[in-house]
Amino acid sequence: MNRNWSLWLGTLGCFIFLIIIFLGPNFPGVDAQLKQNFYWKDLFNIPIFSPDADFPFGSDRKGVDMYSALIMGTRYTLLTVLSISIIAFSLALVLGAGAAHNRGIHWLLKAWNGVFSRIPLLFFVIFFATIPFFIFSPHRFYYLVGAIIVIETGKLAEFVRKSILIIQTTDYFQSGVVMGTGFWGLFKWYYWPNCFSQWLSHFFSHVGSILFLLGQLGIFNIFLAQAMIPIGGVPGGLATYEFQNTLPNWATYLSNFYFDIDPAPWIPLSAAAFITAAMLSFHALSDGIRRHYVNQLPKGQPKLNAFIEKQAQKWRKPA
Amino acid sequence: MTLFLKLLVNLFFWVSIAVIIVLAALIPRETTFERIGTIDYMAWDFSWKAYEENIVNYYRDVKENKSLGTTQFKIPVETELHHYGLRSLKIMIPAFLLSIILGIIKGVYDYTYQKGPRKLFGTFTTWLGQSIPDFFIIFSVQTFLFFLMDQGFIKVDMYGDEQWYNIIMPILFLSMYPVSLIAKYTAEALEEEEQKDYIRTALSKGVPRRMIIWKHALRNCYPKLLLHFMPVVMTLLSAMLVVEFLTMYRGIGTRLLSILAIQTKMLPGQPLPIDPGAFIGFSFLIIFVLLIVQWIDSILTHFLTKQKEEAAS
Repeated sequence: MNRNWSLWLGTLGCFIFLIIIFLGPNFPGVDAQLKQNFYWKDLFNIPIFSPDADFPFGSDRKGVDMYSALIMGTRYTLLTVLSISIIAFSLALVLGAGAAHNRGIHWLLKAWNGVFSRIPLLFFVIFFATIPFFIFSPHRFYYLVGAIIVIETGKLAEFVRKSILIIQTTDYFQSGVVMGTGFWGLFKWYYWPNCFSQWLSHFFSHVGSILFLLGQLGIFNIFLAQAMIPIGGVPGGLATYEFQNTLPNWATYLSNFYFDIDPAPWIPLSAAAFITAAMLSFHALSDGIRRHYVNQLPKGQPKLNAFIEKQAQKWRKPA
Repeated sequence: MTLFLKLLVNLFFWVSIAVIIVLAALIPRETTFERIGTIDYMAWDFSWKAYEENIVNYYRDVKENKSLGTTQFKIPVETELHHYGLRSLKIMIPAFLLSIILGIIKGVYDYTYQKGPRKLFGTFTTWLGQSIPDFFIIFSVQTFLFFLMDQGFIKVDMYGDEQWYNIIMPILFLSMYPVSLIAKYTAEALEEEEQKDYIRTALSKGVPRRMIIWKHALRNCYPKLLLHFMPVVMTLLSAMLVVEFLTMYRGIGTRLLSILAIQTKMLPGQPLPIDPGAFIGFSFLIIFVLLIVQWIDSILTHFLTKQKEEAAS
């Protein structure tokens, strides 16, 4: 019995995170207001509080309970990541399918990937986020999310195009063309049913990689949404402003790691643990979906595009 | 001819990326602010004239000094590139070689033990290595070492690059992900070979399994593994940024981040400059490395697919 553990684990993990997204603020012991405790019980007991019964994961430098902060951050972090992936993937489906049919779109896609997929995404986003225009813009969040989507769409569209090309080699597909099926019909009846599992699997691993990117950006103190909060200065005179993350986000707690790692290792560690848990769930789900289909294959076949290849072979066989 | 064209297209794309980077690096970064009441409203002070001036000045500097620029420390950027590049190479090349060797060994292990409890150390750890973010492992290791040091067990220098052993941790951290990537590719390639006739012949003749894998099957897998050359180098490069930053190893990655000068605090009206000369220099170095890697990749792909087609026909 070859059980598909990754599918079970991935589903379980994603289910738990879904519950946290919807019911997180009502969990026992979660402080939904994220109150800053300047002292705790005793006037001389000031933050940072180490993990104990009152603070299961300790507290951050401002006395906010880490457990509450991370539970509250789940919603924003995962929704940001999911929306980036969903939008990028939907655009990629259109663009990829278009590129498989239209030469012009294919050239456009090639040029797009030629420029943007050659340098790691992290380099791009870091540079983009430090241009003053994006630092001061009130719509910074949308600009940066848009930039990530634009870069990722090209890569995903190439992936979609490649999987569609495999379908296009079959007689099954040719019969559809001969019957005069249009683009939308081909997409709906030929590409979607055969490629769906692979696309779904790739989608979840993409969600994981975007979450990884957000974590990396957090380490470099770059946030998608940030505002300048005055932290000191002379009244009526010069003021100092600090860039602060305005959305409760897991990656926020990674940014100060040089100073936290020795005196308060629970701050970066627990945030990184949440990111890791979510990434593991997404990757497990992606792997599980892939395995679910690949397990039906005889051994020794190429695993890449395996399911589509199998579907294609079914139709290639002479009747 | 097609290969030559492909290489030219690659060169064209990299040159256009280089042009974009130069233009982006010279964007003026002055800011203005206006105080209304007690709040400072900050904005980006952009004018095409200042931009043009930056470009003209930079061009003149390059032409006069025959150098890509001078960094904020008044050193030609080439000197810095040499200094930091050598330091990064010291961890990148060992990490690359280590990933290849360990990755192939691990791939063979994964392939050999696909069932039973030993699978836990095989495919499962390979999967974990691909899914766990490297920064989590770095945090955990550093916290653990701090704990040991607090207890007085050991005394090590975890950060920087002063000690000879400072390169060990970045190398290990860097190679974590590529090892599991290569292991996955190796195991997959071996599985594809499994059903082929020459393996069956060898098996029926009674050749030991270990010999078949290492001497016969693996040799035919190398071309397939070489096709993944580019993604492995790309992951190594972007991991370099995080790993060097987290271990304070002052190589190209850390220097690039210090050039970008990511601010956490600012005064109203303070310019947010980057070091254009240094930024262009370091970007060009990375672009150059990637260009060479891609050329090698294209040439390999060209000849390997040609070989494959010939074998098939």
